[in-house]
Amino acid sequence: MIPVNYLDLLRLAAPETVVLAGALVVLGVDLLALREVETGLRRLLLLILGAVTCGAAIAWMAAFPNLGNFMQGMLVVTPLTQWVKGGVLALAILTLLLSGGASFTNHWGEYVALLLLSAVGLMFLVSSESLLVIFIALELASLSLYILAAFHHDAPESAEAALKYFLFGSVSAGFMLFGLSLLYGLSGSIDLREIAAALGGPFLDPLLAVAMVTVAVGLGFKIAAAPFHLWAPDVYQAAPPPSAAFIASASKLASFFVLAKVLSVGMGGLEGRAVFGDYLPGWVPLLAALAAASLLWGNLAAIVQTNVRRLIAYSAIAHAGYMLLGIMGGKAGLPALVYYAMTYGFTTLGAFGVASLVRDRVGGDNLSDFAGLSRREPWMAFCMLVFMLSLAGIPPLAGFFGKFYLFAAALKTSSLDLLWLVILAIGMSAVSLYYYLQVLKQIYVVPPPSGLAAAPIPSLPKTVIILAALTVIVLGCAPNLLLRVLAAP
Amino acid sequence: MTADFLILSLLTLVGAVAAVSLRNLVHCALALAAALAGLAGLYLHLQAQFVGFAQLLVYVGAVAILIVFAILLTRGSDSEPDGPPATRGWVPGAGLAAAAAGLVVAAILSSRALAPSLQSSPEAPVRAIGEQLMTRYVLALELIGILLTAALIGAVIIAMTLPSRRSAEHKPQSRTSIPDL
Repeated sequence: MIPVNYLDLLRLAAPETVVLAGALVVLGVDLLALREVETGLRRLLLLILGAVTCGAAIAWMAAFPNLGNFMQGMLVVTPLTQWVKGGVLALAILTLLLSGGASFTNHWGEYVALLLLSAVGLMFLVSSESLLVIFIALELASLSLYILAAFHHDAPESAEAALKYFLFGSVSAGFMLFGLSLLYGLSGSIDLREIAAALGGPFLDPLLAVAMVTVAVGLGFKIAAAPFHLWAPDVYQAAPPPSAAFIASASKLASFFVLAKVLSVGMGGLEGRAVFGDYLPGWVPLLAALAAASLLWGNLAAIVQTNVRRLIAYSAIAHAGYMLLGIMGGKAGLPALVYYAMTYGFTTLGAFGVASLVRDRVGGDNLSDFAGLSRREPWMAFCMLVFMLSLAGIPPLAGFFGKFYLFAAALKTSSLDLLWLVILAIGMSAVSLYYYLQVLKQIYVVPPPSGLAAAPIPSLPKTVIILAALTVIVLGCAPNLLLRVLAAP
Repeated sequence: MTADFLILSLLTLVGAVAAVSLRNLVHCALALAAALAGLAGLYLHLQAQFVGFAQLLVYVGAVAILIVFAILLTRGSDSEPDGPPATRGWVPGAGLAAAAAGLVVAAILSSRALAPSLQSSPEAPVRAIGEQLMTRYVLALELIGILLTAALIGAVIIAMTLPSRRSAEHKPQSRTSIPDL
């Protein structure tokens, strides 16, 4: 029998434990103390309790930076995973506060608890190097996100979107499990490092290729890369805005990190080569195909969208293409990838926040509903300007430096093998400028419709949006603040 | 490939296809139970006694019954949907599925890696499984606990019709229907 030090496990998993305990406390407090409290106050208390829990977990990680490896890769805590987990928690806090003005449900206790549980799943996903824990954590996060997407009880389209999300998700989870079991069968281990050692050499067994493709299907679904993106536009458009923002930001950050880890740690040595016209089987050509498809499909389909949230969804597919470039950059590309995914998370969360404010105010989030926003809400309009320009990659915002470092990482490690893909990505960024400017044109140029009653904006979501915009500007002007700590060994 | 393997896999496959294609929900649930039973047989066939019997007890025994109960208690048995099925173009789907399955089978047949591992039959007594679950895989076990908690909360939330909201909206009406004492 292997001796186990359970205290070791508790020490390493303390941040996750804090968040989990917070979720249970939220449920308990909601049930025992807040049943009789009026909905608005109850919502505020529960959201703040959830946010405080996430903040406590971040503070714990900062105060007690325990690093280590529990049971051969079951739980691996490194400075980089700490930072990614911090990013997930920060995005969770912003999502919770963004829900401050929302009224899509009365079950706030359950909503906050599920959001925290999905954050727990994402945190374990980030810091495990075992196929088993990775799969269970992915399922925990996904399951909570399916439910969060269905939370809008009065809107049938929310249920429809959640059902699509669930069906696509369960099928791709099945694919992924098939691939993981093949990996286990081929290598005899569920630990990523042992798998890499057992698979070794550049020879690609046909079964290993199947495993690689099916794992890419499973995680490609989570990151909404084409052609596994079909759920994204519906979920982004119809799920409650905070849920959609969380799905688009934190879940993407963690999924990209785990995809990079599975491929670069578990299948190191099986990269292959993706030079245009001369390729060698491996995961780099596979990702290159996914990235090219995502870049083309996401950017071109976004042009014809008339709904802003749907537009953000297609732009998210395109951004998945950019981020795949960072994974192809190997271990050196990891800091650039995390930087991009984090700043992208803040950007898209803020954009969802603005879209949800406009929706509450005007009754829809189509492009035409944004007309004249600059005259009604100059601050919110300015924040949207920051988000859209950052997504398009305009300096000095975070989106520009994110793209720059991603492209540099992809070119540096592969000695110009991926030049064709980088050129495609740069060309497609130019295309993307068109549809982002369409949104800004509505906001700044088109006059507002007459007869719109003035209504105060809830202050909590407004603060969150301004905070997100500030983060995008600060991290854009000083990218080294984050990049230096991410690149530290 | 032996006869018992063929029978069991046929049971599993036919059950699974029937579970998604039959129109009556109760029939679907029973077909699902048949598929789960076939799967349990396949586990036993692979010498995995613990997994096989656990599958039989938990899925065929408890989960299938629970599903039937849930259907009967919420909708009744006469819940056949009217109108044709929403998806009619099954030919391209079946073609794609056959192509994918063909690819996987071709990969299995041409792989060199699988030949030696087929010989070993793993001996995994229940005691060893339990010990492993409490030591090496203790984190995975705990995570599954959290997963089930989340699923439970979610199931309640999704299945619940909003009593608080509805009653808030309909309070004036219900007051008129109930005689004032």
